[in-house]
Amino acid sequence: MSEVANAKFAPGDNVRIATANPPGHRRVPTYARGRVGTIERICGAFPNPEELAYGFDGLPKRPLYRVRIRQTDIWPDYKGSDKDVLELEIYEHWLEKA
Amino acid sequence: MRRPNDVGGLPAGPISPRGHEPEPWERLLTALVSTVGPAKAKINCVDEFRRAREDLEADFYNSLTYFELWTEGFINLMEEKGVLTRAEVEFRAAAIKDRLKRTA
Amino acid sequence: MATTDPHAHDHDHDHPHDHGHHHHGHNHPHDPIEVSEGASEYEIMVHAIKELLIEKGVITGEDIRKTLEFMDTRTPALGAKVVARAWTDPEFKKRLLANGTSAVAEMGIPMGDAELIVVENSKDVHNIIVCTLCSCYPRTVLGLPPDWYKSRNYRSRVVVEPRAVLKEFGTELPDSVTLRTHDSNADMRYLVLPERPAGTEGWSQEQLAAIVTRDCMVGVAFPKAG
Repeated sequence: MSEVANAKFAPGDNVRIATANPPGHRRVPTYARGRVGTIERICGAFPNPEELAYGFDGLPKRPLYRVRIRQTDIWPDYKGSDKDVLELEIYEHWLEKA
Repeated sequence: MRRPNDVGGLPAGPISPRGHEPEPWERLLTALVSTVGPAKAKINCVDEFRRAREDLEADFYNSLTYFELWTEGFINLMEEKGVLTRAEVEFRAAAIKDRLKRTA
Repeated sequence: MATTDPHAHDHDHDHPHDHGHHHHGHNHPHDPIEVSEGASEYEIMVHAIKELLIEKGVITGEDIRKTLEFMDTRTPALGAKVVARAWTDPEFKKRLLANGTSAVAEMGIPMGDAELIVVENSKDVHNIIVCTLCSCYPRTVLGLPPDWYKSRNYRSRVVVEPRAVLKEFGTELPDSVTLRTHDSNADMRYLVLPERPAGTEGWSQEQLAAIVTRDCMVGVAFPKAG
């Protein structure tokens, strides 16, 4: 979708979402922390909401990715198809290669 | 420690498909929040308002309906920014109540 | 900070001061919103906030009126038009799926600071949207979100048991269909492009748009031909 210079990850890469539990405003739901998924797309680069939330300008912009995770990798008792997925947006600084 | 808005995957009950069309005051609140934006006076952006709501103490947060939550978060954010105080809001609310009684 | 003295503004109407027009005797939709009879504590507080913001010069009554006017124009009919066009114009559909923001801009729909991602339903894939962390929703395409979308129960359950939630909405998905649940947790907003139902061959865009409900575009319902 968007071209982002120096994006660390590309669609198809396997990534792990950090298990960090920093205080304050974050946009990574607890259920997603520590999960492994695949980059579905690069959404673009945006000011960091974790800083915007406190009145800072959130710059420099950070790459935002959509990460696709198998539902069965998140919930132990997931009821549905093994192919069902959950997709959400994660900023680069929450991701590492898996 | 989860903030009170971080509810994905927590146990919860049935979803009521019935809802309501927003009341005029709820639409007004929605309009106030988006009108008082960064373009106007650098005192609110979507992220700050979210954070202000999440900062509310969990039990209080969970006791509020959606627009009550917005009201509380908005007052706190405006106070934080020095735009108005909760005391002023309460004082004015009391005056409005008096006004309504007089014209009733 | 000086407290605004309420007695300096002794008037019986809930009017901001710089709003010159009077509306006695007729109800114009964009008249200032008045405090209702039997108003709750929170309704009164919202009016108090409004008055203070105007008196302190942060915003004007006209600013509020313009926002309300814009909000009034945002309804699911906009999204339905986008879907109907995608169903009848394959090149537009390609553009819509590649870049939702610019495609809806072609139809005069501004996304503002958010970006739009359109996800397509098919016989093998079904999409459903949520914002677990608050209530992010593609407002400029669909208007204000319904209560159930904002509810704690929807937001908690649809990520972990989406098929059960769909069943509560009267939609049962066979296991052969893959379910993609999208958590709108950052700067993206989502619109589901439902599958065009059989029995609509030859329909005009207006006829098609009429069967695309808001719930179809969030992913909890299917459009029906009749």
